[in-house]
Amino acid sequence: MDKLKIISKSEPQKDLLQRTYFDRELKIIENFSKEDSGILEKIKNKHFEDRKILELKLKSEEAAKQSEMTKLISYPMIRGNLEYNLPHQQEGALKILRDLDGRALLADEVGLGKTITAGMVLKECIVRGFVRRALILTPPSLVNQWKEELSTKFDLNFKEVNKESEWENAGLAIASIDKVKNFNTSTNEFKHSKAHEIYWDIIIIDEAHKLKDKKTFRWRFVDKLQKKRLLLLTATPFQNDLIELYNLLSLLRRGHLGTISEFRSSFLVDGNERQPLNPRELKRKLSEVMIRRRRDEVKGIRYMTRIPKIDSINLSWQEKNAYEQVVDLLLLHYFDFNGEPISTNLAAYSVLPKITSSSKSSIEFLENLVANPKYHKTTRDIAQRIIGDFKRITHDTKIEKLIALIHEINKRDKDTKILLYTKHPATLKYIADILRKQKFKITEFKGGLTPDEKTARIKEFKEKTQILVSTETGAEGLNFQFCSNLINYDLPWNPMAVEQRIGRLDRIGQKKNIFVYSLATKGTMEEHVVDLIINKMCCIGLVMGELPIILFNMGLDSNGQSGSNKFEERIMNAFLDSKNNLHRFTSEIDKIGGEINKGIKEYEQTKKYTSQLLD
Amino acid sequence: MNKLKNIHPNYLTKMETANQNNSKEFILEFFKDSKIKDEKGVLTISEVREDFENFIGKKSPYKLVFDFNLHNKIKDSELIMQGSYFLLAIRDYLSDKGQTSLLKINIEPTLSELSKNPKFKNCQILEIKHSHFEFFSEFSFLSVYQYLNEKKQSMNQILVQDKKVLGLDLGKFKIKIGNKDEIPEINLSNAYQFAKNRLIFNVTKEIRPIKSILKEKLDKELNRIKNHYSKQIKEKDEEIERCIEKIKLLKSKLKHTYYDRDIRILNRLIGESQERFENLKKKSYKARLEEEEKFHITDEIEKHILSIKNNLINVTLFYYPVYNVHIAVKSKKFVRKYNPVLDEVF
Repeated sequence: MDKLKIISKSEPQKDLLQRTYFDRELKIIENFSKEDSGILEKIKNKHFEDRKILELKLKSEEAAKQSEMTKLISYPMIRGNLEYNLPHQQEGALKILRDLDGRALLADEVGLGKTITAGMVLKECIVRGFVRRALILTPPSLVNQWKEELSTKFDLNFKEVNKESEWENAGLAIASIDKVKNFNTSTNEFKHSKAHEIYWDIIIIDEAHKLKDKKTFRWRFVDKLQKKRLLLLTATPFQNDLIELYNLLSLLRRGHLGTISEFRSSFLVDGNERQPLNPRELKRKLSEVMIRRRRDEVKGIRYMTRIPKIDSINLSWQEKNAYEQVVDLLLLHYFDFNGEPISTNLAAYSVLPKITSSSKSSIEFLENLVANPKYHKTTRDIAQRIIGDFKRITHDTKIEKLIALIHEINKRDKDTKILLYTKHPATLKYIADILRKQKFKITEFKGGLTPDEKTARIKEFKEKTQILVSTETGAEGLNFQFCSNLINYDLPWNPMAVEQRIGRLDRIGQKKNIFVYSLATKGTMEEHVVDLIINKMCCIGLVMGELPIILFNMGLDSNGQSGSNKFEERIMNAFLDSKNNLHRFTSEIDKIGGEINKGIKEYEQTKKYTSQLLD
Repeated sequence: MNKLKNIHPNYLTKMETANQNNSKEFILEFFKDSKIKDEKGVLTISEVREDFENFIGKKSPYKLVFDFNLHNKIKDSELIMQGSYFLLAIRDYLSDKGQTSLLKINIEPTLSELSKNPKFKNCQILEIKHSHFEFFSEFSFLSVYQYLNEKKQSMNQILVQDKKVLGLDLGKFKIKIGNKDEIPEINLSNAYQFAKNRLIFNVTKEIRPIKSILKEKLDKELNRIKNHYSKQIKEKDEEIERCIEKIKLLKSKLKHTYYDRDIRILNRLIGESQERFENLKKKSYKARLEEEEKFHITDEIEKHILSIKNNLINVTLFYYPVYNVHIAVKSKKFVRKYNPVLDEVF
């Protein structure tokens, strides 16, 4: 018999709006609408409507009634935003909601679109009215990507939570897991403990394999979150041993694999935490909480090869001299008004990419410096002198190389399209002007365009022009799978940014192998960085999405002290420490390359190990 | 993956096809005052009333399709399927409309009809005159039951008159639109409370099968958690026991050892076990595990909540005439009131 906490059944209760009661442990909340009194008031005031409207209304209730969870009713709403219809994504979302009650480990192999499947779960829950408060925790480098995908593909606007005070109004919240897991040892509390006070309808955690150790603050932070549904996304649920898998599943369903002692005795070969004792039974237990699909069993996806080509540029002595002078200026003569040296870190981050981009952006930087009285006279005088040197340069070797490269590409395939990237708007304009003079058909694409302008320019590129010259911010989130040539006129010293560039082309629907051309100045530090990022990271046969995981595993994707990517920061530090000594810089780059290589090998090993157990 | 084939959205069951037909009929009825063109599976609706266009935030014409594949082919089309956005929008548009109605039961018994009524057996009916109007109200409640990832709904239409629920079959009466000038000001607060109570009673019956599913699932989850924590506590208890036993054993060995080197080793081992024992006790593992267990139990209970939302969507006031029936029994004349709807004489 129901044990009523608020009312008994026998007496009519006036103004009862809610009653909560338990039937054994089952909690039942019954609500009544506040609007009912308004209807009674209408009767009192003799305000009557046509009864036919009620009949129509009853039919509308019937028609709008949601079907049982046998299909995604939200799918037609998002279908137009998705590039491809991949049935495994819908099937996964349905299985999570219908069979696994919204608590699951989604362990699809990389490249199958776990983000899309998770987005489908989220959208379906929101459309059906199950979810009002949702939280997504991702690696720091993926926060923006998630936000963008949810907005463009699912029409869901998530708010990024950075400060603790921002939790209060966070309905649809997204945060970097590295940021929110911070623990304040003096107060013995998580800095973002407010997140624990909220009852979340759904929580999604990307790259969840980082929750492998239950002693970490990361694991404890997630465990303390109150949640109705929990989705853990990772292609590699364990890396070193099966205890990691146990810890991960403990977040999903406590005790699903027994206590740790039971787990050890039932599923691990004595003394070997990597070797499952009873793999079939373990697989069966996993299937109750996990979905995993392999790329080779999913139809409709073709993976293309990335072909890297680095084009070295032999600078003329005049160009080399000007470049060296700017580097010297930054390292030795970069002073403020009072003659105090300006942080070399700052100089490296903000200036170095400009001077390696083009003579145009170098001159732009130097002219700003000369015109700004905040800099010391010596600095400004040197800058003025270097501007003179730049202006005396008669040939731009880099742009000449670019023109030759385009001709070479056209020779290979005259109908092919080219996406040409530069980091700097000044360089973009410079390249565009010169290529136009050379009679190339180009479209310019940069930040600040309205959505209509963007659409028009993409159409222009697709239908009329051959080359799209773009900055990062311009083409963010856009898809150019109809184009298979990418030229990095200059290269960000951040592999994630390079992945984003390649990702515009390397996506589902790309029918050709992708040529990734990068221009690098011979005998400069840039040459070594380009080699590391392109040849040793972005074009080594990894599937789109794997490099961020590797960097995340290595702790190289979080924000560094400067607010930039840690990897980029290490390269910049190597530049500063080398004091323009190429040999010293090269050996540091080799060291970073060695670490990356180790990280990649570990990741490949983990994939193999995961596959052996799960597939 | 093959197991999931039968839930792919392109696959329509017979029941779903029937639902699609109902949806189409409903759409045609809803837009009956607009211009409708039905061509190659696409309903193009134009000249739609402005307040609906404003509500939905899109100007007509609307291209409505009832087939998923067609939806992919026709640009800017709206897919109509059960629970789809467009249907939800119509439902929401209608939500504050049609909330009240006034209907009159048109019932006028004739002398001959009433003479045959057993309630007037053994008497002669002389005359039937209108006395006054009686009222009853119909409360239509929509109840939505939400649990886990499912939602169900049911409609309860409750007829109330004077704190009584009427079991009337309204289909047997002639009903017409009422005239508000024929009725006085009516306060239905009490009737509403009574209907609401009846609704609670009905809902309690309706949710029994849902409760049973949920209880079974919840029991399973709670057992898993309780079992897990009781085992964990037991394992820790046993560890302490083992520690105590080990200390006892080592101490007893120590008593019978005379070599300095062995004494040193045993003392070290006793120290280590003692430390382990103190550590286990200090961490108050029991309290910590119990707290954790409580957290997870609460989490599961919250996850399995059955939420019921009851909405009064319409109140229809019915009124009908009550008659004074003049009768003669054994030459004595009486006047009785006759309620033709309830077939009651008083």
